[in-house]
Amino acid sequence: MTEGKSIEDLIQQGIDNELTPEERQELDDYLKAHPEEAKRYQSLSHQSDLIKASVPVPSPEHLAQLKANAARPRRINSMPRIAASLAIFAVGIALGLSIPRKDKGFNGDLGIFAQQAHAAHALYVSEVLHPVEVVAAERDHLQTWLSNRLGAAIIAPKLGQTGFSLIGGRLLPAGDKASALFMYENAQGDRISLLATHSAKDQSQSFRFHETGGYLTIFWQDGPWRYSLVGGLPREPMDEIARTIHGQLL
Amino acid sequence: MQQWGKSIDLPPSISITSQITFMSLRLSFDKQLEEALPDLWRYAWSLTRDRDSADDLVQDCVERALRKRLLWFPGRSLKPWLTKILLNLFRDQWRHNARHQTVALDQLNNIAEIAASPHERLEVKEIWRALDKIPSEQKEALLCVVIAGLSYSDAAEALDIPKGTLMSRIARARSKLKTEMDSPTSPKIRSVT
Repeated sequence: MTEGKSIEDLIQQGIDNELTPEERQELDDYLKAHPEEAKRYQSLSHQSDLIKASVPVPSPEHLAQLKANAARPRRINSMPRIAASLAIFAVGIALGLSIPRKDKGFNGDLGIFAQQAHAAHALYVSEVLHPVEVVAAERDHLQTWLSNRLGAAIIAPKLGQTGFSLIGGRLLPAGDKASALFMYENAQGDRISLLATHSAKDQSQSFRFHETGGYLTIFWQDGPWRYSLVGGLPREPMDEIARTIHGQLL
Repeated sequence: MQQWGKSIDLPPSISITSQITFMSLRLSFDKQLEEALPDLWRYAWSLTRDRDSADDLVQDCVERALRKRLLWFPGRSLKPWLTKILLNLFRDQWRHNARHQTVALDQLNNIAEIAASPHERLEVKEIWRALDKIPSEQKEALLCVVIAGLSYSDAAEALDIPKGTLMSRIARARSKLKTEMDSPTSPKIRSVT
């Protein structure tokens, strides 16, 4: 469909290779019938070629160097940075000594919640027949039921763009509260779980990671909601899935 | 009370497509960054016309992108986002810096070195001189497509303007360039193609 496009648009887009084959044909026909316009088209596209050709091409090594420089902290003002890093190091040591070594990654209330998510995932992931109580086909019912039990509206996030689809969900205890577990599966049969609970404390904590027993847990708190994503996938896709979920909160 | 936001999901019937998307997510950030670097550098150079400034811009841009990596939405093309960061840096650091405002003639000579014939050399110098005379928003739009190699949609995203605005800026840039090149005050240049 090209009716909407003016000749001027066709000319510009022709130079920038933005035309469909049909539009290209239309432009060619027009230019054949209008020699003056053809001359103008030639001259405009020659301009672009000239500009393009006169910009230097950096070597791959040079770009790799720039990237490496960017990945490493700047040297400028390094003294305050060194002092700061020493201070952070000292605080780190102090913290490290003050916290019990066991389950370092799962500390605090949120950590306990994440631990429960990990345990729930480990328990239900291998269930072939009954990984969930309510299947995804009854999504509405699932969401209503879990929202009622949690005391706050919850919707199972949609992870289609990451390749995961909802299998279903179940109700689980989380401390003295109820929590909702959603389980997802991708085409390879990888399963991931999301545990969500509505806590009394209204605060936010950014993503934390903990890897144990072959599963990676990513947990965070957003206002009163606590979330914990568990799965046996590498950090890269898990990280992205967690961000997708986090993005759907907004 | 907070709740999970609603979003569009892919129906199960196109789960193969979503699987492909998932695969492309895996080789996402680093690979896309690497692929975007040459065009990004060329864009930086075309805006500043200076190798050192282009280096600085690209390095700052990558640094910022790595720092903000978590804010980048996976599955989306990285290049428009990087271009946007680079443009912001350029606008902040560069445009208001009077030191950079004037482009020395020998820089134009350097540009022209790549040209094969004296005639082309003259033409190249002429076009960069003409580029200096068009409004920066038009220049940024044109170079975003021609040098950064972004599609119209991606360029519109990088420049944070509607696609229609982008297209009219490009059209205006081209016609101004042509007027400049054709004007009697500049040496007579004729297209060789």
